[in-house]
Amino acid sequence: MSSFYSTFYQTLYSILFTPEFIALVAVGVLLIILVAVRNSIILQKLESSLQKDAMAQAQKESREIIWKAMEDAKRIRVDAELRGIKGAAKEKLEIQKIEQEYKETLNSLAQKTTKTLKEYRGAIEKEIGEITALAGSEIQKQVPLLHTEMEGAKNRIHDSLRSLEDTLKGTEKEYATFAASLEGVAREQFEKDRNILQGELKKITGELEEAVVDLKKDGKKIIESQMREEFDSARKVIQEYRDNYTAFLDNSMALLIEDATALVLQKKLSLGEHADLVLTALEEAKQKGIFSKKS
Amino acid sequence: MDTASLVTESLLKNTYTRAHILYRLEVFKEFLEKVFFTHAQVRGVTADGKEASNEKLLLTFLKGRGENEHTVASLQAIPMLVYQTITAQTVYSIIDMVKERTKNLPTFIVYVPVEFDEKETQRIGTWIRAHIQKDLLISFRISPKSAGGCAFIWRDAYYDFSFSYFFKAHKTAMIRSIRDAYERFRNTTKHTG
Repeated sequence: MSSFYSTFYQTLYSILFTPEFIALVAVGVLLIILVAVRNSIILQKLESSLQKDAMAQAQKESREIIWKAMEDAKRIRVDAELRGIKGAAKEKLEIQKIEQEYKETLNSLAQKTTKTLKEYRGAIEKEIGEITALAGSEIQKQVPLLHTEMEGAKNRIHDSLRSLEDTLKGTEKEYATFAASLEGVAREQFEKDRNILQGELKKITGELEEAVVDLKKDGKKIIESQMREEFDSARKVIQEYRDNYTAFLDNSMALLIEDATALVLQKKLSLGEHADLVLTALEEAKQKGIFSKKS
Repeated sequence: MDTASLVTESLLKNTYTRAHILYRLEVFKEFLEKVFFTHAQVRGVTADGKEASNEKLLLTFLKGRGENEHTVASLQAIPMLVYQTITAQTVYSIIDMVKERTKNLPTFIVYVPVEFDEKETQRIGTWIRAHIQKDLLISFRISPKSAGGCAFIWRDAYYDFSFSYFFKAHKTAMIRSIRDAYERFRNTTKHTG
């Protein structure tokens, strides 16, 4: 069995690893590759033609759809326009009819009005003519009466003027008399007033003189009083100054004495005398109750 | 009463200022040092003999230092009992205790124009302890302004009883008398002139 396998393998190796076999295998592989490439190219072309057909079909269909849509749109628009034109024409016809009716009504009204006005005018003119004729006859009747009345009025005015002239003349005389009497009265009054004024003037002059005298007296008094006040004030100021100065001198003197005494006390006293003064001071403090104060 | 209190009280009897008490305490310490560290043989002697010996020894010590009568009297006031209770080991602690107690004593600050000697200090101190407070220690401060009397601090308040105080009390009368004297002098000058 094993010899069989070894023989088989040897044979196989001898077949497989010969140059002819390898060349054959290579040619075979090459052919397979070429066939695969060719098939691939054919497939690509086929696919491409199929795609083109599909695209053309799709374009055609889409064009048809678009065209159909455009047709529909056109039809709808035309329909709408037709409807609109019909409506507009109808509306226009109705408006024209109304306008015609309006014009006719207006014309008939104008004619009626004109006719009525003409009638009124005639009636008025007739009335005016009648009234004018009546007035003319009445005026003719009243003219003589008017003349008479005017003459009377003229005479009455003339009389009135004459009467007024007489009155004026009388008044003038009376005025002259009144003026004369008035002058006399005025002169008397003037004399009286002059006397009164002179009296008043004298009185005022007297009073003024008295006032001046009083004023002089008062002025003298005021001046005296002011001078006295000023004098008192000055005296007071001087006194204050004097007091201040004296106080200043006193204080200066006191300070001088104090310092001098302190110096003398410090320098000139013996220890025993200093101790005495200390004890005196403490005694004074005790008398003042300082040490008995509670804190 | 313990040893420190005994020493403090004894010193206070004849001492009136803080400075003096501290000084005398220092002298006492030196004496004790001498006793304990150079004359140890005096200790242990019979009562009478010991006392006599200690007194003598103290006097000799103080005279040898040239201390004044007031310091001598002050230290001699310390009772002999103190010397029996005090030992070389307790000297410093007792001295410290005395110092501490002295610090706590009330102080009366007095401003004086000059520095007083012990005699005048004693006079003033005696008056103060008799009339103000018995255990007061005086602390003198020199102030020329206090001439003619003194100033002092009492219960945290300053009082001036110097010449200024007395002068102010009689200022008016004094000025008047000066003015009168001046007038008299002027009149005399006028008459003679």
